[in-house]
Amino acid sequence: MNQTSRHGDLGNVTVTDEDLAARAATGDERAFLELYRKHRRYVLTLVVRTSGRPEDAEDLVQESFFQLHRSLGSFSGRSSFRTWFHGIVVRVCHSATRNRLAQRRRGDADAEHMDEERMETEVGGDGRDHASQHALKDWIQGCLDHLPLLHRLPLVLHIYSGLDLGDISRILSIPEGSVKSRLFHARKRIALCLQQREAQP
Amino acid sequence: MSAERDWEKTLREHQYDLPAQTWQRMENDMRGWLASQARQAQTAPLPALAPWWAAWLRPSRWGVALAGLALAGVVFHFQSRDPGSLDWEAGQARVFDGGQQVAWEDARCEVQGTNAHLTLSRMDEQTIQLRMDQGQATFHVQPRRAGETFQVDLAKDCQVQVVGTTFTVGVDSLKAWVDVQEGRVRLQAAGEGQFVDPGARAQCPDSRKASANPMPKSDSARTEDAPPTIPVAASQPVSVQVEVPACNEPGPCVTVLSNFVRQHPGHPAVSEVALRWGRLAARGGDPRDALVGYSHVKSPVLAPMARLESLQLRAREFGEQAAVADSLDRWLAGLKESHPLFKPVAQLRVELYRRQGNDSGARSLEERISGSATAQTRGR
Repeated sequence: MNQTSRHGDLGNVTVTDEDLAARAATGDERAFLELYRKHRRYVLTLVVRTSGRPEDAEDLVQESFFQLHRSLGSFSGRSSFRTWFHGIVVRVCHSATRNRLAQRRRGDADAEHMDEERMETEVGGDGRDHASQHALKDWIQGCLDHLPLLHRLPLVLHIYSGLDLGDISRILSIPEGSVKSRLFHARKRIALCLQQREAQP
Repeated sequence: MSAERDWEKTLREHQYDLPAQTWQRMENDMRGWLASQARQAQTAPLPALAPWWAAWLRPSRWGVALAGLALAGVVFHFQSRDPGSLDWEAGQARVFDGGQQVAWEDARCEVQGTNAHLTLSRMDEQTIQLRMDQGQATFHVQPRRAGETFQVDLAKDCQVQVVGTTFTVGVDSLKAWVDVQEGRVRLQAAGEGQFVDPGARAQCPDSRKASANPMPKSDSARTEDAPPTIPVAASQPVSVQVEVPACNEPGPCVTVLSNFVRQHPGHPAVSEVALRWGRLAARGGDPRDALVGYSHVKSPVLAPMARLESLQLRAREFGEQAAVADSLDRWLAGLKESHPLFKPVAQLRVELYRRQGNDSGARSLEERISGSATAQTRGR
């Protein structure tokens, strides 16, 4: 995601995300829609990977942008727009996860969805049945989806967003050392998961 | 197996996407939602705040709320004190740096400095006289009453005298100068007076050659002089000097200014440069770029002007009457009639009332404008 982009709708003016955010904060809908078009695909990947529920992706993307719109006034420019917006998307995904778990505790109909298990519990890599029928790519994605959220989130932010330790630390409000440690454990778990595939007949 | 090494690459390459028509539908939904937000803000601002209040009423927020109230109390306490109670007595020097500002009693003068060494030479009911020894400072001075003087001494025999305006002064090892953003200032140098208009710069004669150098006229000074060198804020390495572009004509200057703003977002002069960028782009017929320039003006002294000019552009160039009217209404609700921006803000709102065919709204606001002008005249 580039910091600077050209867009046909804004003619030949070079506009940064920060510029668009500043204009959107003053009520400029066109600027907000520019941000929306520019970031929605990336947000889609992020919410699918973070929540592990592609079926909720549309709602989460929209909710992320609703939250962005409500929060634009508080964007101070201390961090880049990109880092700041990541924080919003992550909070939206966390909030959705909490709501699902609350529903589950109340015994709602959808409560037993396996994905919810994956969100909070440590799955020991026993995804063999799930992944054995799929190609390598799907197996790798399965490994990622089976990571606990604690480890998956820093990895998703690192892989899909290319964020460095400092940015991830700010977004998740944890020390850089913890980010490093979680990335290490996430990679280790995925490596173990891939070894299981190799061990398959 | 290579997959074990390349699994991150494999993941990165596999991005989710949706069909084009799904994206289109989602964008239409987003447009609808934005429109509903705009309508809510126009017609019923209080219900729109409901979720915000609900969030704040959560017990976990109370601590933050109380801390905020305490902080606001402290800020109010200090803002309501007069300069004397801020321990800035006549003869005392202060350094304003890194966006510090002082709001004097009844907010009639605000100062934002950049390593600005200022001495309060005289302070009484009629006169505020400051001496600037070094650095740069932007003053936002509200209209003075009859007989009142606000003066900044930049060098020996070189003073800036104002009635009510916003201007930036700078003093470095080579020169002392004044940039006027709003209103008009009088530069009194070596016994001669010169008025400096908005957008113009004038420079004091070099104090070392004061008698040899006649004072330059504002326009020629602005275009021919080398850009001033301003010491950077104390938090940055002292040896680093960043040149602030001094150009002030539409065309290539806009690119120079925008590059400066993007390359030095933390520079103390960035707001002033961004305001110039916005104005020159607007003058050069590029309102979109102007809006971008205005959006970079963060200084509390200059931001209200940037906001007003950006609203003017949006109303006049982009036809966003409804949204601009909404912004103006909210602004006017919190703007004192004695504030120098009250009149231009209200006049823009009157213009929009007329365009919307709301003559009664326009008349009512015009009465308020004339009422505030009468009150100010009576005050003087």
